[in-house]
Amino acid sequence: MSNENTYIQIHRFLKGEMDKDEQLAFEKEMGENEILKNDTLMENRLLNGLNLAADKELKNDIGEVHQNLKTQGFFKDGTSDAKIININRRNNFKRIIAIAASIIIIAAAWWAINQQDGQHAAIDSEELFANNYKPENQELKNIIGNVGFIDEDDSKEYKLKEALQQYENGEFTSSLKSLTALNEEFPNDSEIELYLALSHIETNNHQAAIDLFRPLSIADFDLQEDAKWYLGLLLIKEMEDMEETKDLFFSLSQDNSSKYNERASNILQELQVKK
Amino acid sequence: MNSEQELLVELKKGSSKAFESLYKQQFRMVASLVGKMGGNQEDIEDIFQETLFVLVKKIRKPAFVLTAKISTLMHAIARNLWLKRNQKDSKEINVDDNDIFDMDFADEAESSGYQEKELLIGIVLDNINALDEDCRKVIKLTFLKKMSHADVAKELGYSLSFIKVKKFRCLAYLRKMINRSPFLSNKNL
Repeated sequence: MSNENTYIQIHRFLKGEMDKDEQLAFEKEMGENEILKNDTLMENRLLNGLNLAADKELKNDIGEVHQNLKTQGFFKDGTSDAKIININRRNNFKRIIAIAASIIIIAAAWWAINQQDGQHAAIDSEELFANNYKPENQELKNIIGNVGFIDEDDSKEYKLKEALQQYENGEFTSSLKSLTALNEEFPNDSEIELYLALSHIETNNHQAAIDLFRPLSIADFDLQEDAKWYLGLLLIKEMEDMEETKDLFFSLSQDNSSKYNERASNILQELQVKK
Repeated sequence: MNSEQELLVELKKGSSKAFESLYKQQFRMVASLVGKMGGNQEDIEDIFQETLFVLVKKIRKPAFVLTAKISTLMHAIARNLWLKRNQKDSKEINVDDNDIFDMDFADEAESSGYQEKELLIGIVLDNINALDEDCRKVIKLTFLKKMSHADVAKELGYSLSFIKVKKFRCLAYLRKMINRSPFLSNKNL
């Protein structure tokens, strides 16, 4: 049987951690040394067995949690879905009450419009998105302008400016790559996450954008209203939760200082009329 | 769990609380995705379990770096698992954009040598359970939970160098026990 050092080499060989020369030398030695060859085969079986056992344990652990949740009725007839919605609704109770009150008032005014055109066409999500979505260039110009002359050593600002410049130039694949790297380097930076999400929109990865915008739409930072606006538009396009969508546009429409105020009111109106 | 990083650490350990937390946070997203692509409730539950399995396997790899939200990873994995499951009927679907995620879970059950694998797993697990308590913990955390030496040392309250030595000794015991197993001597496993 091989000694401890040999087993270290066997593991390196089996895990593919050796460079080409080492590997060739090891293979040559196995050809000449029956004990080493046998120990390597047995060790391969042991490590393989451990990996399979790890998979089995993981599946069992997940299965156990799944079964417990099932016993609790989590999946029953879509109750998992309902449960989550209810939790969200509880959290947003006050906001929804406010929305409901406003909708009643607004609905009275819209009733006349409904009566006139008498059409209840389904929402054309693609059209609504296309009419309202445009790449965020003006805000970028402001940011890029404000960054001004910065030292290349001021890593974050410099890299962000570079990435935003790519976005502004329409080089969205590059901006996505740069912003993904920046997001890794500076995690939890809302500004970086927002522009990363915008790049995801431009590269047609809408779900990734939604996942980034959701927490940003409730985060306390300067571009929160932008996050709400783009999240709302994406939810329309992806035909996702209409309550959440209306909630977003309602809050923008109620904020007189928001640059999206009027456009949000218009969208809200369309969503109400064409539901 | 307050942050994605905390969740990641707990998922790596295979904590049931972390799994439960992901069920509560992400099941709806996967249900909506699979539902939109024609899956029923059973499909959704299967795909969610498989998604968790693939996710944890990914994050246990030493080179893994979290570059997106966990929800984004789960979305991509679930989508690929569903497409993979239905690829025979949907040849036109291009899955290249998300092929960074291996489909190890779904493939495994289909692969040959299932019984031999089950036998090997049984022998390995029986022998791990026959080790003394310290060795059992070290082997389980290192090889089954795929934790780093540093994390194992922290978890068990030992020094890093002690854990490295202990791991090698325990593995030697396990090797000896497994190689003596009468079930393996005549099997080509």
